Amino acid sequence: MSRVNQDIVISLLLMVLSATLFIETFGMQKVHLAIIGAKLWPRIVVIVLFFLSAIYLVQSIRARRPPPEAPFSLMGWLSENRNVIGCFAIYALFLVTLPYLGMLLGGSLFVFATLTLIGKRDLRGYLIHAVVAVVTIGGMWAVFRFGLGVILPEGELLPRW
Amino acid sequence: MEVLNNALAAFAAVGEPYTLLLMAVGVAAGLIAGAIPGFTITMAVILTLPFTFGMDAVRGLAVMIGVFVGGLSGGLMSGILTGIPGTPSSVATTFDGFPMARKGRPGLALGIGVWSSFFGGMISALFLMVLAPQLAKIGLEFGPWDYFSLVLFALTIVASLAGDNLIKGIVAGVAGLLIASVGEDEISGLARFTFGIDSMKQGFDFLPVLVGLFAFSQLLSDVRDTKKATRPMVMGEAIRISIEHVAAIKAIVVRWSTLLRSSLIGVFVGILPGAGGTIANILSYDQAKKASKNPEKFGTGVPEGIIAPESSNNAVEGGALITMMALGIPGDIVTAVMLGALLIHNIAPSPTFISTEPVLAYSIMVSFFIALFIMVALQAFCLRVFVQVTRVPMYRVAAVILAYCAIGVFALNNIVFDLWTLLWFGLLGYAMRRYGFPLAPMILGVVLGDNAEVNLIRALASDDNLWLFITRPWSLFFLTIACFSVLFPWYQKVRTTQKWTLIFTPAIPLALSIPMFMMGGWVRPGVAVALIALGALMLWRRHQNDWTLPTEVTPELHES
Repeated sequence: MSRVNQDIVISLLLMVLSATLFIETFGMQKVHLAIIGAKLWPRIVVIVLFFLSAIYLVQSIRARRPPPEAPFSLMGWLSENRNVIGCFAIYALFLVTLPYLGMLLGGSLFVFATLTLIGKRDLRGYLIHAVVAVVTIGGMWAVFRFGLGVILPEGELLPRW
Repeated sequence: MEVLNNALAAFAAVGEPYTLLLMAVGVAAGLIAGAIPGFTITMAVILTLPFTFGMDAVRGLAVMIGVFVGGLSGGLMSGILTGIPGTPSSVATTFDGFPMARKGRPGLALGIGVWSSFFGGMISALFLMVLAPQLAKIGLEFGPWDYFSLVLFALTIVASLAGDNLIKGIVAGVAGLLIASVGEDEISGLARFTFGIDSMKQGFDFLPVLVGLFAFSQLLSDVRDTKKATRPMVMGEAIRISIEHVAAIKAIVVRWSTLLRSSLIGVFVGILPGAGGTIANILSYDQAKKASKNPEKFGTGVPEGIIAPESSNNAVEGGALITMMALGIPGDIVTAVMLGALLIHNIAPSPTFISTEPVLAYSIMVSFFIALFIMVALQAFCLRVFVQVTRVPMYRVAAVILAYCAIGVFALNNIVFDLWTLLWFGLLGYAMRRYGFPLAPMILGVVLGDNAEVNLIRALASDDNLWLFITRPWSLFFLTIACFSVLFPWYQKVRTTQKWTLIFTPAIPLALSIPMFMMGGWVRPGVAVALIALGALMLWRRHQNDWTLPTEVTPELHES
């Protein structure tokens, strides 16, 4: 997808988003006796956003098309963004499992998994990643738990501290 | 006398051994973060914020200022030793710092960088102490109309610094305002844009939004390329250098005019909302080159080429703190984070901030002074350690910091919803980076959204006459600058080809003279007359030059 096409798609998405949010403002409640309702400011903002998106759309259409790039390939895009997609997926998994694993175990596994995704996958690599994960997350957990008095999620798997 | 008492109380608060120790840790962390290419100072300050929750406001801000001062100076280390600037604020430092190091004087280059940072910071700290209370007095004249226009001005100037992407910058700023409006309305308590989700009633907290948009997305961008992510962040031989302090100080003192000019540029750029060290260091380097008798020597390793960018990028923070402390408007993302830190401690910066929280206000200024001394001491003794840290591969740092982001964000409210907010805004931030949307306007929109809404509602509730936004002098003043800042990218793009650009800069003082006249009294109309004279002089010079367009292209001003 060329940059011009990207910009057109993004501007259209923004216009749809602002139109949807504008409609949503009609569902907002009104306080009796209030001179100005809670919906005024959001309405102003989404209207401005809609018009800016429209200008952005016009600019994107008017812009000169760049020289043709290689055709878009999903596999190419996935391989290019492999690390980023992997990191987001591991982070989402970490959040889903947080109630069971807790921050200490879940955080260590998150760091280990992320390091292993990007770094070397051999015995030495695994060992380094495990040590980095346990030492750093253990250290941070201790600082927050005992130094700053923050109770981090303990999870159901590990005994309570 | 009152000023002295407040300053002494602030020195006592910041001078506590534990606070000084924490500040030293903060400066060291900043020096390391600044030395790592791709790891910005802003990210370091954002990541420091969770550690400060458990501290009182004075200690928390002192640590954050320590990180910031360290970060600004850390950027020069990798820039001078490897030619790769650690932060965008040190880009111009490499132009002469790296050649000087390659000529066999790395100790002198580092010394000039460190001491220029120190002196630049000191000069801006003096300006901070003198100017902030004065500006706050002016701020007391502001009504809700003026504040609303000030916020608009801040947003437009940040968006205008997005360069060619002006429309994307404004869209990002407005989207930031939209994000800030999610959740219960500050005035009536009614839910907005919650789509029936209970957790969204409290709105998006500032920290997960900020960490997600900025830090999370930056880290993921850093690990996108496996090859780059798995090699050491800074390559090259291990070094054994000692800073040449005495020679460096002598070199700076001899070139005091470069130091002073660059520091003043830094303070001025810092005062402007949204403009930061990235602009200041390039601008001051350019000015130093223009003022030099031997401009052709720039780029070969001349001391002025290090003094100018390093003194100005450190002076920026004093300027940014002036605007934040006096008006409650953050001068850059770093001061936006500090503003967030104050809000976490239930302190809202405004023109009354210095008078109602004098010890805290002076503590910020004193911390800035003390952090500079700590920075010089740490640079002198721990340089090798900082450089060694930059040899760790990026992916290890990124993975650990991603986990730290989660722990820090959770610590704010102890709710898992914030962690999901971090994920969604991390995705949004990454997408924005990929598709060329600047992040700074959105962050400023999120920070200033409530402020803008509350002041607009107050203005309309007290009088529904919209003309007041134009007829009130300060409001008109800010709207006028906002208009010029929106036109600025266009002007910058066509200034060598279109005739109308010749009247753009003279038009600024001429237009600003109108609200200054409207303010009444003697001083401000006097300033208005001076502005008219300045505008007329600029026009006269253009007339003398036969209205010829400039041929020289000066560096474009973009904040990254």
